[in-house]
Amino acid sequence: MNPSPRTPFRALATAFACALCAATAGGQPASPPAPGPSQVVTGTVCRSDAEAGTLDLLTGTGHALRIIHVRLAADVKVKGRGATAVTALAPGAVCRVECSHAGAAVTAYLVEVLEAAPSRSQ
Amino acid sequence: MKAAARALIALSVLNAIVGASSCPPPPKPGDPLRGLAAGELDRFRKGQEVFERTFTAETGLGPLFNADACGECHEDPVLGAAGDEVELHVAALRPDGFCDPLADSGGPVIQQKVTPALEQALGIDREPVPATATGRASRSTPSVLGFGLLDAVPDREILSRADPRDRDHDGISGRPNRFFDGRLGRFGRKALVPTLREFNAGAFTIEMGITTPATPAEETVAGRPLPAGVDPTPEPELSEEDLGLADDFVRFSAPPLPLPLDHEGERGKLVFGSIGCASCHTPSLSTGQNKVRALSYKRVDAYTDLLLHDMGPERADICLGLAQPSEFRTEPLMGLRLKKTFMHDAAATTVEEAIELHGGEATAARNKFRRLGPRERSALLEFLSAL
Repeated sequence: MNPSPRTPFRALATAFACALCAATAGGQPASPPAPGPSQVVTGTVCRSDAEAGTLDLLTGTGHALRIIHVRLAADVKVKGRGATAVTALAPGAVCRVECSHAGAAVTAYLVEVLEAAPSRSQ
Repeated sequence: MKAAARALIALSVLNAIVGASSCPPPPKPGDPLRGLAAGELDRFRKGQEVFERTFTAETGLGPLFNADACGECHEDPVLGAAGDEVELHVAALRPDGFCDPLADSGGPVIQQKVTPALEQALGIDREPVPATATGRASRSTPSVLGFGLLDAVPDREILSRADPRDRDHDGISGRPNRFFDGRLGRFGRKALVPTLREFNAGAFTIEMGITTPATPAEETVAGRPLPAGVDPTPEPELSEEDLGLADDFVRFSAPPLPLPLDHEGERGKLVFGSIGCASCHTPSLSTGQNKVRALSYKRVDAYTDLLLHDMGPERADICLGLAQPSEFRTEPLMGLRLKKTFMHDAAATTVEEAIELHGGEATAARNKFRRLGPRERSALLEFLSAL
């Protein structure tokens, strides 16, 4: 049995949120959180906009499918299957995305292409 | 004499006891797998209660749903078997070639019922079909009996039969579908879903609007968030324990065993192989090592290869994952005799009609079926009616 990917993700996200609260509590000057491996999501690129720096990732459980809207960090790294740039993130590509959460916003700082988008030549 | 009679009676009683314990009767449809441990059997019984539980808006039903209980659809002739409900799925094959299941606008499953609160709030009696949908599909209720064994078949067993480029030139390609994270799929009519656990958890949400720890977010109304106040039950609406129990009910359900074949049925089995049906409807698969002994290293006479095959343009409906509109996973034939409709869309009411609806890769087998003499045809149908 493969466990649902969501439960560990939620735990990690909660841990990240707690760590963030602890870091910003006690009158410390607010500073942007250092990007860390707060969450890993694997899904298929549904839409990508290199100019806007956004990615819609298709994932879910069973037939209950969901879209995760991801903002690509300015210095996002793209690797795997010969990909080096955001332009490689075509619809259909299967990607492992390391990202951080801030409220509902998901920001990716590493995208690894696991499977390139299928050829659409036919 | 008396001593001999007593000994004979004692031997008969002993034989009956040993016989009963060593060779239990085969499971009937709806029974649990043979060989389950006591704790597993207990979970099967408790899971049966969750599976047939009727949900209400107060216990999490909806606001969008297709049924108010698993057992509302999976019910005929026993709990967990098929049903007569047919639901609507949609997808869009976009101009860029990407198959979009329209997850951000309510797809791929379009719920046909709403709770009174949602109807009052939005004035709708079902979920609207997204305007961007390019394909619609009817999906009948599958039997889930024996799905635990299908879940226990190792990926390598499925992949060993794949021949996407038809390198053996038999006209049968067979290719795997994959979930959106890249894992091999096997459940669902397009073989999208990798595991039974995910198939079941997802079904609670898309079919009944019941959120679970694995699916904590409600379905949207064609992509729009739910109006305030229509879903008062806190998420998740089903506990991890109840989800696990329902999952174990399905996992531990025995597949309907084929009936014993007479001479004609045996001949029909040979016809089934000789005309090419068995090229996709692989008679048996083997499970791998499993923590549940009753699922470990078992043969399952499922009559499927769990791969996608092209069924021809007449049957084409929606794409899903890597599956093209005309590609469908080979439907398991275990329990075929218990079904009242056939094919993924319930388009056939007899086995013969179903065979006639096969096209694409199955065209050659269908044509051979058409050319069978009356005796061979009768034998084949006899065999199929025993599955």
